[in-house]
Amino acid sequence: MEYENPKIDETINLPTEHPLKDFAILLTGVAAFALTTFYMLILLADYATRYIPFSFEQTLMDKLEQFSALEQVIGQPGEERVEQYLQALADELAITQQIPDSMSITVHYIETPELNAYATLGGHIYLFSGLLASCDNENTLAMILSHEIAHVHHRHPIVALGRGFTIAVATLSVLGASNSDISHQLLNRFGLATQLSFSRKHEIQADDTALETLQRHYGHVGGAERLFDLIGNADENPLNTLLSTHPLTDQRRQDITAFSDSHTSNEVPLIKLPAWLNEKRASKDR
Amino acid sequence: MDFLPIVLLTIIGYLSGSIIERRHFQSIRKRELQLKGILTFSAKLPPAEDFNKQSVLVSGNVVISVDYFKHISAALRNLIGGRVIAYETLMERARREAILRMKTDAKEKGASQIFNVKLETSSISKGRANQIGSVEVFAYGTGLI
Amino acid sequence: MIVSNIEIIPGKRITKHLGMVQGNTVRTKHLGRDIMAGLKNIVGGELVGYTELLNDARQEATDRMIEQAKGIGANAVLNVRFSTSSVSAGAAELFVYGTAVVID
Repeated sequence: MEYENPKIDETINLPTEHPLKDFAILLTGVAAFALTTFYMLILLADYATRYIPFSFEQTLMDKLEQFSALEQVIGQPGEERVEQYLQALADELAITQQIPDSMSITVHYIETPELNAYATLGGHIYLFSGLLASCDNENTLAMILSHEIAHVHHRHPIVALGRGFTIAVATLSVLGASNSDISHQLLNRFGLATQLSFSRKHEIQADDTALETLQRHYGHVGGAERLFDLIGNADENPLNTLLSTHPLTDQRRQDITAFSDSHTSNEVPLIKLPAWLNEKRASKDR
Repeated sequence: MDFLPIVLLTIIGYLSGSIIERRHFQSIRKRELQLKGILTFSAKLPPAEDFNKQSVLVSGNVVISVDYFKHISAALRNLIGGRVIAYETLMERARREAILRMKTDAKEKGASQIFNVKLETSSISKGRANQIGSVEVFAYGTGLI
Repeated sequence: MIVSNIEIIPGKRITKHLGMVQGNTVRTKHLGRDIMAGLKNIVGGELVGYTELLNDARQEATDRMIEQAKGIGANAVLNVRFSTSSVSAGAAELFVYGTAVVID
């Protein structure tokens, strides 16, 4: 009997394919698959959430208020007189915008220096005193409010919630199965990216509706573009994270200019804010 | 923005990982040639004429870690399924290194043949989250002096 | 090619021992299977997808070992052993090794 160890061909157990080539194929494949899957899921969520009745949003919001005292989290409630004035203006605009009877708009005036306003579930609109202090006429204020009313009108808050929920569920199911931190991170990023681009679409849609409302209410859209003078400044403020999902203000400003060019020809006077409110603003500016 | 560290780590992982791997394979080939004289068999019993020889247990082990590139590559492959090329080269390196260390051990103990060679593989730090996996290969057998 | 996990082939004589030959492969199953397996973990039962995966992978590893044996002129692999280990979550390594021999 003979004993020996001949040399074995080492390519049998070693893959000959280049690792980078394999990696490139994998990355493109997974990215394409993830994007299409999330796109489909989001479409599905968008479609389904439209059928959730508005009253459900309101109940949900009421429950949330009970649990967390939401207003306290955002900031101190502002003066009641201002809030009533804003509510009255919002109600007028809501009628002009012809929002469905089932919807109701509730304006909350919050005492905080941030230059921001946003709409949330159940027709609640939050306006920060910082933004109001920077508005010097009713038209700009109406633009802000109509924009937020338009969000409620188009059911954007519940759609965004549905999207977030769907993405969370999808991420969890993938996570539960593969339990890999990398795939988790990847999916998170993809989810965020799509959410961002979709909310830009919502912003532009809300702008369009708001401009139409202003046109119908005042007969012109003068003063609307001043909103972006305010937000444009606010973008430089690093504290202002809520504004970061808004689209490029330049793009939106161009849309407004295009709209006003096609509807009004000459300069129009802007409506002044009530004298008492102006005094308050002036005192706050100092 | 948050992607940046991952991309950076992947590039660093690929560059350093491939250099280390190439060097490791070169060193493995060199030492395999040097230790050609020591024969390994997985047969349980040595030939009858060697029964009067003295025997000694010889062993060698190695723990090798994956680099970040391999880690990402395998995580992506995990979603699709199929051959994980990145890990196959890793296992091959670990196994040949463990056998080489066993042979070195045998040489030091004066053995020239190893019978009943067995290989054990286990993954270290697998269960912990956010932990890059590493494998241990342990080779052992009976050396005949 | 004779592959066996015992030391001898009855009635045949080993003329030459050629040392160890081995084959390995690392495999994963796609995400869909992983999700199904995750669900199966709740109700119990055989994970058909994983059974298939491990079977295919073991076959591939065996084929590689046989290829190595052929490459060095052996006509049988004896004392074959299989070992399975999980390299990372969801990926399994199948490893098979044995002694390549020449028999009459």
